Amino acid sequence: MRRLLARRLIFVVFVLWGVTLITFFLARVAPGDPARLIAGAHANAAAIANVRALYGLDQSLVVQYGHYMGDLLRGDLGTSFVTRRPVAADIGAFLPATAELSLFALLAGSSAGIALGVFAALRRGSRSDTAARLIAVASLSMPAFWLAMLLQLVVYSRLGWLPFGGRLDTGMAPPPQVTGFMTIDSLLAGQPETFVASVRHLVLPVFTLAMAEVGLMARIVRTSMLEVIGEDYIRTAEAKGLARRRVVVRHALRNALLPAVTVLGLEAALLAGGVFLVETIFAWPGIGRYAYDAIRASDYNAIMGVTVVGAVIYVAINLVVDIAYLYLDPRIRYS
Amino acid sequence: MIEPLARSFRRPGAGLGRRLAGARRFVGLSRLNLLAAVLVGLVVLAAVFGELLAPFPPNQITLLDRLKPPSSIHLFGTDDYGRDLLSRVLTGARISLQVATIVLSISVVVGTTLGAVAGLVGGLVDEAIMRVTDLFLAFPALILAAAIAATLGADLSTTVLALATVFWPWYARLVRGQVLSLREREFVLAARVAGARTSRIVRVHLIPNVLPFVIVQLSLDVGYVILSTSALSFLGLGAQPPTPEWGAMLTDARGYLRDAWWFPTFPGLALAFTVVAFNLLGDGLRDWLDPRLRRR
Amino acid sequence: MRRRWPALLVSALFIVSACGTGEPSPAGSATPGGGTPGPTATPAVAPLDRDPDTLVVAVDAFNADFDPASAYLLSEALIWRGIYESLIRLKGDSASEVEPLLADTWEANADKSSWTFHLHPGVTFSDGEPFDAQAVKDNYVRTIGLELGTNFILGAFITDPATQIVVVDPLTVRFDIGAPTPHFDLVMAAQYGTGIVSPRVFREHSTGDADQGHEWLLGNAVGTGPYVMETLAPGDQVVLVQNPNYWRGWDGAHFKKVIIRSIPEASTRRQLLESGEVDIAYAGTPEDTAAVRADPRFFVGDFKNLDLTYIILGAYGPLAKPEARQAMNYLFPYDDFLNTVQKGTLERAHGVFPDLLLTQDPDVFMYQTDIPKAQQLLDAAGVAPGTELTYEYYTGFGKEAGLIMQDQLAKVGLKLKIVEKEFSAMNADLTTDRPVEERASMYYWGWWPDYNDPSNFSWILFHSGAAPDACPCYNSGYYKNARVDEIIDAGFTETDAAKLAAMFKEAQDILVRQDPAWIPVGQQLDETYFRSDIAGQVFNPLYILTWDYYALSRE
Repeated sequence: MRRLLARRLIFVVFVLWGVTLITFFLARVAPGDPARLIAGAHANAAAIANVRALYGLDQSLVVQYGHYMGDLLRGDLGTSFVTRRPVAADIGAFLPATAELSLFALLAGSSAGIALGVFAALRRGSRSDTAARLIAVASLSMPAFWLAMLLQLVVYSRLGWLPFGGRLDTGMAPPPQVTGFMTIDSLLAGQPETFVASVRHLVLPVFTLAMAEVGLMARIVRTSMLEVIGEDYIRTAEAKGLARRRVVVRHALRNALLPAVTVLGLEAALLAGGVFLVETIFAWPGIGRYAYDAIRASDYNAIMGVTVVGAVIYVAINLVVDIAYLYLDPRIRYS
Repeated sequence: MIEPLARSFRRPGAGLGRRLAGARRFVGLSRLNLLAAVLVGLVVLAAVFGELLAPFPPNQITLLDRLKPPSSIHLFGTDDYGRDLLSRVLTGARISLQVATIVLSISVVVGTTLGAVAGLVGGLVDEAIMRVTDLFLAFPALILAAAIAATLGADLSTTVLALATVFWPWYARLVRGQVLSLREREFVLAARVAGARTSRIVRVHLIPNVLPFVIVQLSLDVGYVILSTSALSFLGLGAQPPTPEWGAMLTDARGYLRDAWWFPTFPGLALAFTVVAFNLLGDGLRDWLDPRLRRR
Repeated sequence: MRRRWPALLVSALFIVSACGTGEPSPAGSATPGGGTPGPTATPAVAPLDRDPDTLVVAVDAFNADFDPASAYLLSEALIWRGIYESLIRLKGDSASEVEPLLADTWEANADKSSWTFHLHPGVTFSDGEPFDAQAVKDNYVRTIGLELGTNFILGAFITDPATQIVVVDPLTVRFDIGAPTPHFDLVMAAQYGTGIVSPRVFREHSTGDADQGHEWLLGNAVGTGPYVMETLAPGDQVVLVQNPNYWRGWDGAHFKKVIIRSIPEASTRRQLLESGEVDIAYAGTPEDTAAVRADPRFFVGDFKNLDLTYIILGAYGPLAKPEARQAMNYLFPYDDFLNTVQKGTLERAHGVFPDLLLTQDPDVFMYQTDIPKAQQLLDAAGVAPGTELTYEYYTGFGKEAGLIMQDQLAKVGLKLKIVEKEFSAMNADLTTDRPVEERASMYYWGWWPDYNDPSNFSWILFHSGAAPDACPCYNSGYYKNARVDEIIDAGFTETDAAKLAAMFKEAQDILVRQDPAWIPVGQQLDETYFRSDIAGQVFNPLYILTWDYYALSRE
């Protein structure tokens, strides 16, 4: 097992390095001149040259890459051309916002999805199964921005029940940053009003993002439950007279969750696309918007930073998932 | 109790009669499968015949008719250039299916080949291919697609390339996994012992058993590809005007939800409808083809 | 029940939202122009259940750069307009008259080659540093010398700031330009490149001669202005609070706090305005603007500024001949475009100069859409049917005009390929020298001058020295006309107003009629949405899309 882990780690490093290499050259090969953008439309050649020198953009690509990797290994992700702050600081500010959103969406969507999937699997072939499958498919096929705008129009504008967006009420001071999660930080700081506000602001965007989750999880759980239910050891347990429910919960679900957990890891990457749209509509200051603005402005450092961090997260999640797999599946553990 | 998997499926080259029987069985398995078949059929019909049936040329600009609500002349209303929305939505079906077909063809060919090679040859080749696959999977898809679009110029063809790059790893993984598990199956070992050549084993035993999984994945992926294409167009990285791609239409329509609800709604519905159709199809196929899900 | 709930939910949402928004806005109506007013009596002010002394502004995005030597974007200026001040500023809504700000009075010598400014006494920066002539000189020496983007504005006249800017006494500073500069006051009132920062920043936060506090000023600001920055959350919001020692004092009605929020989605901004959560919001679609304008609780200015929108015609490739470019001008459907697509949010441009530019000619030649004439001209120019032209624009700005032109060009047998690019990529395309095959035939772009001066406006757009093969400037059509060059060069030092007008009348006739450089499309109208209870807003045509927070108050 340790050898397995060691090999995984080596390949993780390889993958991350590959990602930085590809992104670096891809970003710089793309047309667009950030120096021009920063210097401004009315700047003359001298100003543009100065700006270029300021950001080290006048050196050869290989040299630039070398500098970048050197800084990267020391934890320095460079400076964003757009926000003019260190990229690490930007990501530190924006990532927790997206993480808070994604995690709650994942939790909410997954729970609902798992419940739906189990429900459907146990009633396979019945009308309830059909209904559940239809719900699952419909929920993941709905364009996220559409739902987001509808919710905003109805729940905010017409009904006034929930805020339009943003993380806190206008002008409300954020709690001292510990995790970057408004919900947790406000609780830690003992600010109940802020906590309530942060929760109210989370409802609509989380609901929108969770919709796709529900469908995906429901389908996966249903499928893997059906696979497992047909397996020998389940039939043995049933033959021994155990109540169906206990069988389901104890044996089937645990094993059915394995592929679900795997997919959860992969979800992290897929979520990125949908998150940007939701963040834009709900004015959520998250990393989706940051990444999009970076791409639009050829903000190399920001693009690199987001890609590297994204890849690290993806890889870390998968590593955790692999380890979880090892513990959850007895067959692998003892092989 | 372990039956040779090959016997559970129709062999390649089965007669038409057997195929129709299979299809009927598929549809009869569940009401959802029937629904899936009908919906997919509609989408394909729209894609193939849509432009012929469209009442107006999809790109015809009539500024005076802009943002007209649905009426008997314009069943879906008009967009912000006075173009007939129904015609554009129908043309969009063709575009979306075209893109999905090309992207998935490339992905399947590249992914399956690499996956099969990895699974069959094993060893260092397997490791190398898997690491490359991991690399592509670890890449945030949006950034990759955006970078490609920025480098090669935003266009539908660039989208196709970008999406193919994102989707092929899944097929590589899928096929490799299947090949690995099939390799050790008795009937394959038996065939080897009997002296069959690798190419024959691949043709007769591996392909028929891997094919169902690939088909299921394909039908599910059609939905994802279409959603991704529209997401890229939404971000300005995909289809260029005046191409009536659904995602591009949604981008333009976004600000009109309050004042001209038909403009974002009909392309959005078409999109959702199509994705639902293919997802249901994929689900149904999986239920039907996956032996592990068979009723006992 | 359960099986249908997502579909039911969505339908319910639809029905509820499609039933209009409850106020008398022309919801759902697609007719151009205004909609029907509300059936019942409506309150004249939107609800306000928040602190009335706080001004909340919703913009699509803001950027952080508080260094006057480099800050050149309006997304930055909209914040620091409340923090920094210059010596003089444009008066009210005029683009040609100035009024005192940090300088009480000023005068020029006989031939206008030397300008002296008398500073207001007793002014301090928000960090306590005194404001005096030395501070002014330190600032401008730095802005011009650092060459980080805004240096050209003053630097075009003051090439050696250390010698040319003279501290006569602590309250008097003189600018020795050396050549007659009749409009130097307008230059000094420019929005960009003239702000004054506390010199203590240059001393205490410098990381070197090439920096002098630049990096620190990317996230901090210390000026003489009415507000100071309390918090800056990029991508989210900025909070400004009153500077208690502001030299003009706080008598009268003023906002205690200004919160600027970044709300990228136009429909969200409109909803925020209508629900009373924001006081000022950037405009959205023409339909949004029509709806808000018709709502008595809000005010839309429609104020004309100096921002001009146009299509650059490449004077190379298929459009090399003037006749071909004249044909393009005859093809554009001005009325249709402005009335139906833009719905009156853009006013027709008159020639290539903004209406409010000094020396604008009221009788400039105006094209009328005339397809047969265009066809004639194209034939005369030898443009073969089936030729493909390229049109480039950046996301969110210019797609409509492209589609329209594509349609029009089809009527004369030509093809138009439309290319959308990222803003940064297009910016690079416009200013980078490339071989003819790699250039687009048309670019959709906009421009406004730093100050109200025809040579300043024209040089960077039409002078042959501003084509990408000479400098990274915005004469992206490689327009080269010797007579126009002559006039622009002479205009910099021409002191006689009548002569200047005559010269540029001739130049414009060339640029519009004889040898077209562009298809001038429209004058931008500032259509920012205001709550009806916000008073004191004064639109200035050069201080574009930024506001004087100190002048605003709530009724």
